[in-house]
Amino acid sequence: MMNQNYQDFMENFKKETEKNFQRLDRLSKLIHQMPEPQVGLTPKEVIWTKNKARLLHFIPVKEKLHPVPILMIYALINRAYILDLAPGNSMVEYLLDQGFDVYMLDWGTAGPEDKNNNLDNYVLDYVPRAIKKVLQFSKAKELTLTSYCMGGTLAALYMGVNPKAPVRNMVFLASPIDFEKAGLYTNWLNEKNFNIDKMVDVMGNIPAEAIDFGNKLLKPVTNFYSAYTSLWDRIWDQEFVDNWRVLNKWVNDGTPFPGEAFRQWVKEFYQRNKLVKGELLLRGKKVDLKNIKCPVLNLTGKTDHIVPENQSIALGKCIRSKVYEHVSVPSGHVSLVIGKHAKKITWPKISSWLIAN
Amino acid sequence: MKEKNQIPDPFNFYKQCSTMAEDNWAKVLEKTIATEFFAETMGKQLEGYLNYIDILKKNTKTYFETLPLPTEQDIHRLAGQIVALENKIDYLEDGIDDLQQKLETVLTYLSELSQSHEKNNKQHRLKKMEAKGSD
Repeated sequence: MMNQNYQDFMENFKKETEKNFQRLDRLSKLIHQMPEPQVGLTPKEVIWTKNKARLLHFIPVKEKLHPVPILMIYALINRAYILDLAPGNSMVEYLLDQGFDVYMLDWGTAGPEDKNNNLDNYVLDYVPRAIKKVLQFSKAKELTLTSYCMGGTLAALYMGVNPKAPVRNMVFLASPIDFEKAGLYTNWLNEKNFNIDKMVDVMGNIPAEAIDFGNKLLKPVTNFYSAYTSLWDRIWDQEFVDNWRVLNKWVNDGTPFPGEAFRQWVKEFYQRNKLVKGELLLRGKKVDLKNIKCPVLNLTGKTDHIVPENQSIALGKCIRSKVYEHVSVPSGHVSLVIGKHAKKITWPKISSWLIAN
Repeated sequence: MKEKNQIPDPFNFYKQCSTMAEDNWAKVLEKTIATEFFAETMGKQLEGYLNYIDILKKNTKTYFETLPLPTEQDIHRLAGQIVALENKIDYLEDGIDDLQQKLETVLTYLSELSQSHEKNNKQHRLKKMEAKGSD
């Protein structure tokens, strides 16, 4: 009996060892031999540039069915192509398919010479020019601002100092507004523990790796361990591997955070929560969220740990929009805009809401 | 009895252990990173790293200045000036756009004015002709 068990064990051991070597071989090929996955493939044209920022116009695939163009405003960190990740997994592609005219403000990669750029520059110099260019190009009188993550905060800041902005609707996706409810970041970035002035003075721009490390540290086991064990487990599932590769490329393809903008971001938002308190000034102008009166759709991820839902929900209490809708999607921060929940809930909701408004 | 004698599969055993432990690790780690002690320690570590980088940057700068070679800051300053120049061009372009828009408005107004003037002239001439005809 014992002998039989021993033989079974050895047979099993041999099989498993072989399988694991095959896995290792495939993993090594995935990392070293396969070309980088292609992202942001929807055809587009650059219609305006300023410094590193580019205003992209996605080539319509259908006759324009809706007269109000959409301008997507992205965050100052990571790459904007998360909204146009891969064919079949792209919010941009979906909206084009629904007959919308889609534009995107991509901030590009800040260089060391941009370390003095602060949020005032981006909100007061870049966003208004981009809006003007979209309106000129599309010959429309108003547009829809759709913004993801920190892009939503930038859009809110712009509206907060421009009560007469030509904005018909606003769509917020996982956008932080109330920084008192910022989860672990509230603790990590408080004045007592985090010397923001020294960090910016010494480093200039904050390296992408530092931002990425902070975000990954919010869920250490998931980001540093489970992400790789799940790839190991499902390495023969081609669809899973393809999705994993594009997402992994995006996660590790960060951009540096312009130094002065980061100082402001941490000091005035995370440490002093000036936006919701109504104390924030941009070049001496008060940012008043009550200036937002247009219809607003606010989408949040139920399990978002980077921008916890409470941080975004606060928007509803700060604005004066008569039409305000909050939708809580059963997703995380990234899966709010890509993947199955995005395809099922987020994208159709944005499209139907925009048509209705 | 048979199960008792069976030799466990080490791969399966490791996988089971790993899966079971993963949730527990996550909970323990998440609890740890949420503590004030963790935040304080991270802050101190960052401070130490920044002190090191600061000294390194200052030394490199002094070294290049002594050689003499352009320092990193010199190159950044130059790049900054190019960006500032681009900004000026952008403002000019913006100004030209505004002027063009205003000019278009003025031209539209003038063309409407001239059309209405022409129409008035025609009506005036027609009235004159009618008046002559009735005479």
